[in-house]
Amino acid sequence: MNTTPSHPTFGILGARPRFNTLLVGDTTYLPAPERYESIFRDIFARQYYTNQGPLTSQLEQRLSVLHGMRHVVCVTNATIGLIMAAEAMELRDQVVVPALASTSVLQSLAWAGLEPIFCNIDSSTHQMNIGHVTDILNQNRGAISGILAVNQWGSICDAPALRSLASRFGIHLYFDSVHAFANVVNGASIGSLGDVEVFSLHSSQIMGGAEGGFLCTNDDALAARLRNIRSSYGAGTFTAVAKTSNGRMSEAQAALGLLHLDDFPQLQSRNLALLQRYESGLEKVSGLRLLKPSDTCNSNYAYVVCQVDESVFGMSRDRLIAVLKAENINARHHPCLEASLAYIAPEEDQLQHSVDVIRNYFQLPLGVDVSVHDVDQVCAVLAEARTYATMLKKIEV
Amino acid sequence: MADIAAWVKLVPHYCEIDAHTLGINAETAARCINENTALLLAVHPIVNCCEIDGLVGLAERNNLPLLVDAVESVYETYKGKKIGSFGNAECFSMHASKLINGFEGGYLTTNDPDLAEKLIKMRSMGVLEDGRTIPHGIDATMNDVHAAMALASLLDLPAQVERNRMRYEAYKHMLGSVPGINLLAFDEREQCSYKNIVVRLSAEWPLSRADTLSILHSERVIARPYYSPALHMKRTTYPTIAGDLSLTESLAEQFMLLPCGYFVDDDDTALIVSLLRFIHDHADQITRQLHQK
Repeated sequence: MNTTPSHPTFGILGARPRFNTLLVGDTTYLPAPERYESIFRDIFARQYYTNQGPLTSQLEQRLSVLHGMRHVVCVTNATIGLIMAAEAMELRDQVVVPALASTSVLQSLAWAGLEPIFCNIDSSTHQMNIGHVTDILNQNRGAISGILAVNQWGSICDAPALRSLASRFGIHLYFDSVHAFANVVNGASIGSLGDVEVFSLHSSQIMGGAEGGFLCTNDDALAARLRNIRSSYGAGTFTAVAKTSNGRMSEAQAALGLLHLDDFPQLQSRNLALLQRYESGLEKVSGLRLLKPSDTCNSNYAYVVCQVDESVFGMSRDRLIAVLKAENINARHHPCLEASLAYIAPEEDQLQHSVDVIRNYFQLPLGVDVSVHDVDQVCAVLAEARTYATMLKKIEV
Repeated sequence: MADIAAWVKLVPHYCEIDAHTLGINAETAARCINENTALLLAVHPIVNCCEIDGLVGLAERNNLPLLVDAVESVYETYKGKKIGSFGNAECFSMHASKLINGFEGGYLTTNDPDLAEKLIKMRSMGVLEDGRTIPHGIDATMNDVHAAMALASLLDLPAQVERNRMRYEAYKHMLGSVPGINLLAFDEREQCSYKNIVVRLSAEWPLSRADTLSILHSERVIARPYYSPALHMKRTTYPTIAGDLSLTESLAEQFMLLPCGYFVDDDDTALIVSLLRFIHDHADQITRQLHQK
């Protein structure tokens, strides 16, 4: 005979998990097999596999229309793209980056021989804090040659403010827009927020292309340099560059990119519906704040990010993640996305606010493998976790 | 290749080649070793291999690491031992133009477990367990679509080498009757891919290589100068060191890479060789007309 427990059962307490299999989110989206097969048959028939082939050119063309940009340069991945951007702008010494910066950002600077100077992020948006960027530039005049801004979580940082700072101090401004594909600001797709913007077609992004990436710029000279750094194929006008990078995109990557581009609007609206479901489901859960895309932009809605206020919610971010994991819910934070944490020393008082913010966020599942019903279940678990936080906080894991 | 050195803040110091193998050897490399030397970066030529055992000994005697660029030597052996097993590591390409077509991409081989572990970390951004990153980490992962293509190519490898051998035999047979064009022979005591068809223009050949190439190109035969200009002749903004490389410079003027690989059939080969024979037989008239233009 079953007895009804006095409180909900939790996987972390040994009960059966709410989900029978892991609710992943972020699952690699692949177009329907027949479309995939058809575009690859064409590649094999042409026997043109790489070296700026017809599909890569077509993808560059379509992306430049989408972004309304003079130049789109497709590359093998976004990290190479970031390195190429720094190289093409001939940055030197130091570059300002947000305290929430990925390994990709930090390694790109290291390859280009540059030192990161971290600025604070706003707790409500996770975007660069403009006041702190201004202070850094005022104090470090001379050593800083650029700002590498990050458009975090499918939203946009305060690009106009950064542009005016960059022009005031005569430095370069470029963007890691890996999270911000197809975001629209004031009716126009981003791409021209700075001198160059770098996008990713990694399979974990909403717009995939077997790990490819692309760069947007309206600067003809910069575009020529980028194409010459990428490799001799598709270089266009010869422009002397210091070093080349072998950053070509293959026809396989371009093929997947083109198919994803066709499907992007459906994926985006599906994500929006899920995100809205999360919003309403979590509205009444105190101590948990869902980051909303900034109201100045139309997001790709590819990220569900929550900020935990431990004093209100009743347990820590890490304990909550453990509770969710035990229900087969892939709540997580990515060490790769917050690689900057390892570089911010505890004595850097100014940045501790950002460190606290970064240590208290997590992502929830969203993607092609997640249904509205799944979202309701996840929200229910979160609400119950809040109610029984005192108990769940105490158990030994 | 020199750019790779520059990316990691090393200074390329070019060494002379061996006239027989067209590659680096222990003697030419030894002349360049000094207290600033950090690494021996050997490259296998595109037909046969450089004397790699001598380089292994040189690296050991000087306590220097040895890295081998073996992009055209996927299938080759040296004294019966597979290329890929020499030095600290060897580097291969899976670019579509190479023996194993993986669209793009490549791979490294090493027998050193510590180096392998480090390379695996570096390939995925160089992230360590504690969140810190090691220098020179980068996104160098191979994606599954490229890997699938490379696996399919790998299945086809023996058949492809056999087709390459047939093409090589056809060129060898037909070029035998063209004076002044000497085909670089594969060393058939070793395992070889027969992939690249490289010829040397001897003193008997009546035209300059530049003129020969421009005639071939105008007939839509895409032959390439092998290797020209030599790498050290290229202007760079980063520092490089090049001593007397007169042998390299002279040899860099004498070789051509003829069309080869999957697209080329026996009829193409016959047409290319007959064109070369025609050029040889009508050299005076062709030269006159070319330079009148």
